[in-house]
Amino acid sequence: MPFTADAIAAQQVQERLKVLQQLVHETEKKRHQCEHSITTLQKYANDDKSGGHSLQKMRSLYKSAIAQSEQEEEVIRRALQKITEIRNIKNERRLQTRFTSNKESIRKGMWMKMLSSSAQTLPLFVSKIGEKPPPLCGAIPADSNYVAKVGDMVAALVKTQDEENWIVAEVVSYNSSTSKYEVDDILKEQNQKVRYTLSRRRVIPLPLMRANPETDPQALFPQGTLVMALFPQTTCFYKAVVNKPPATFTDEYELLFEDSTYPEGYSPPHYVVQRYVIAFKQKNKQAS
Amino acid sequence: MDGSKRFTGGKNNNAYNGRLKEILLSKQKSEEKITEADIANIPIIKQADNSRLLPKYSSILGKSGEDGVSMEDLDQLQADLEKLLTTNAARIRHLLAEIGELDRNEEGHGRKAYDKTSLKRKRNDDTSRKFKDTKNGMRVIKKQYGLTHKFVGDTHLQEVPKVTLPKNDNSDKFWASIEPYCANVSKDDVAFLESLIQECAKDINMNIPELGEHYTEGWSDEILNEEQNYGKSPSKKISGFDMKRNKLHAIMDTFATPLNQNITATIEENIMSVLPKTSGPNGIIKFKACDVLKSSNNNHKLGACLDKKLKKEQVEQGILTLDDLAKTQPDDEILTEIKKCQLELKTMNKYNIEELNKLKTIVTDDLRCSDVKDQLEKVDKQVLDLYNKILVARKAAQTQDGDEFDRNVFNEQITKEFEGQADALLKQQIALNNENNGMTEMHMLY
Repeated sequence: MPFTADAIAAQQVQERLKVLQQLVHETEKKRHQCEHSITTLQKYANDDKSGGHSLQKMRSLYKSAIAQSEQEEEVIRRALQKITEIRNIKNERRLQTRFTSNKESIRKGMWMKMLSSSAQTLPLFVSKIGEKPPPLCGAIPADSNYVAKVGDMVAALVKTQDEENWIVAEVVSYNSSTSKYEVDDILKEQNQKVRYTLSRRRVIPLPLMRANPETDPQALFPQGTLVMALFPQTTCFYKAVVNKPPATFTDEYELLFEDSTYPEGYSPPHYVVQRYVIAFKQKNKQAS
Repeated sequence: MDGSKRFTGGKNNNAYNGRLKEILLSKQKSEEKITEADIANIPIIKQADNSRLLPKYSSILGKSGEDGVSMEDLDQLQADLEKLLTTNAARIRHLLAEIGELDRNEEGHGRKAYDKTSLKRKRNDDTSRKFKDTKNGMRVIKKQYGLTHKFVGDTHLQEVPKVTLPKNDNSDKFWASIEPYCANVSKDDVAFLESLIQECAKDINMNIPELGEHYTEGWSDEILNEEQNYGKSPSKKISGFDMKRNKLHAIMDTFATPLNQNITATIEENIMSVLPKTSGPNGIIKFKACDVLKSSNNNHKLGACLDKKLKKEQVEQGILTLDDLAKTQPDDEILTEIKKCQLELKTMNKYNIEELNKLKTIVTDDLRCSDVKDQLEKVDKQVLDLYNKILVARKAAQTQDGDEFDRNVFNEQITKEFEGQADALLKQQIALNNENNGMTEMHMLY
């Protein structure tokens, strides 16, 4: 049975990979047209530096360049959509097999790599003109009644060795009658089930999309914001201040962590990806 | 704080970061390359740079087989595609901004050009415009608008007319709505004013109806009836002392003059002092009050009647004179108010008539003025005609065959004839002009 489910999933992935390849080729075609219209525009503008060029012509050149770009955009979006679909299928499979087979015990190092790469491959949100970033994109918080889905990554406030910490966890289930989540500590999954049952106030869903700083800077924490972020090489969230928000979609936040061992009270800058930087929540309130 | 952190191996993370930096650097390079002119700054990743900037993307492009993309390629391909997408988004925004700039520049440019030339035009076209004005009977403001519109249409024929045409339409509507108010006065207006004056001059019927019976008298009748019925019922015959006192109070309240009220008040006091001691109250009241209330039938006598009777007796006995009675009549506030309003109305009406008459004289003046203007126009036309005639005659004379002498004589004759006519016309013109000017001055004064 698991074999066939795997096979189906594999086939679905294969189909999408093929489509993806076609889309890449299509993108290239669109880019060719786009580049062509841009060069025409630039040439025209340069030829008529004297100012004798007709505005009418300029405008139509601009318009066609925009139209070409929009076509290109559409194809690229479709290609990225396919990639997301493939990832979702994979994740689905992982969730299904998680409980049936307790196969590979993953090393800590592997986990950290997965954490980082999943953050890096989180879908990028690039808004269209006038579009607002959705909830859980970058710094935009989830709706108040949002419930994290099974398999989603969350920050969870748990008690470990007499102290409370926000850790990275994965949602196992949500009981809507008690408003409580069951979450797994992602680090300890290998050693079998360190499972916590937490009220929803102790669980903060992590962003599902990255925000593109060039088009949607409003979906980023601005400089000076108090946040909670994953300290590098750990799976714990700590209080930090944004020193510099990312400037491009691949950039990370530059953060100063609160650290009393330094005379200024803050650590030197650390870099943390968008996915693991969330709005600061008062611990005491949460603990009640 | 550090102690609580859970450290794990970080080699991979570092490796990834390293690659990121590389990508970023390459992107920066590409941006530097195209920063020249504004238009050359359009964000785009050139296809020539594919292999350098988009390694996975270009390697996939290079593969021709069916299974061009593998799972391992996904991460890097996603990054490449995202780079394309962000550049694309930036480009679209850039282009849109440029178009906006273009539009704004053009607008500004258009406005400047229009300002400059329109000034010149105004001067050049002044005469022709005036001519148009008189011909169409339109106002100068409107003409100016029409001109600017025409100008805008001339230079930016391609785009602007769509915008300006509806505007122009609106102004037409506006002027059409204004037209009746700005039209010359006519005889109809005079007639209308006259009818208004006539209406205002009519006497207003301001009769005030006679004062009817006082409402207390109506009440007293009612009470009397009630009391009579009341007296008939045997069970109520043993009306107590309190009741009587109340009745007396009620009667007292209906007395109009303060003097009478005083009198009754003393009576009441007397009654009160006597009443408790006596067993037959009815008789005593009658007895005590009989000086004043002789004719009262029984103790159910009513205030209004009493009031009248009291007055009568007072006059008879010489306590009051008739004049005093008239004086004590209370002021009728309503009557005075009505009279005041009537007075106001009368003055208002008078003022209205005055104003209407003023208006009428102005209108008649204006009518004469426009009459003069018409005549002036006619004369102007005649002068022009005459001038044309002279020209034609001269031409004819010059081309005519015949003796020099004849021609000269003819010329003289013609010129004399025409001179006379012209003189007469010019005189007329001057006279009319003077009249016209005088009248307009008067209007200014007003």
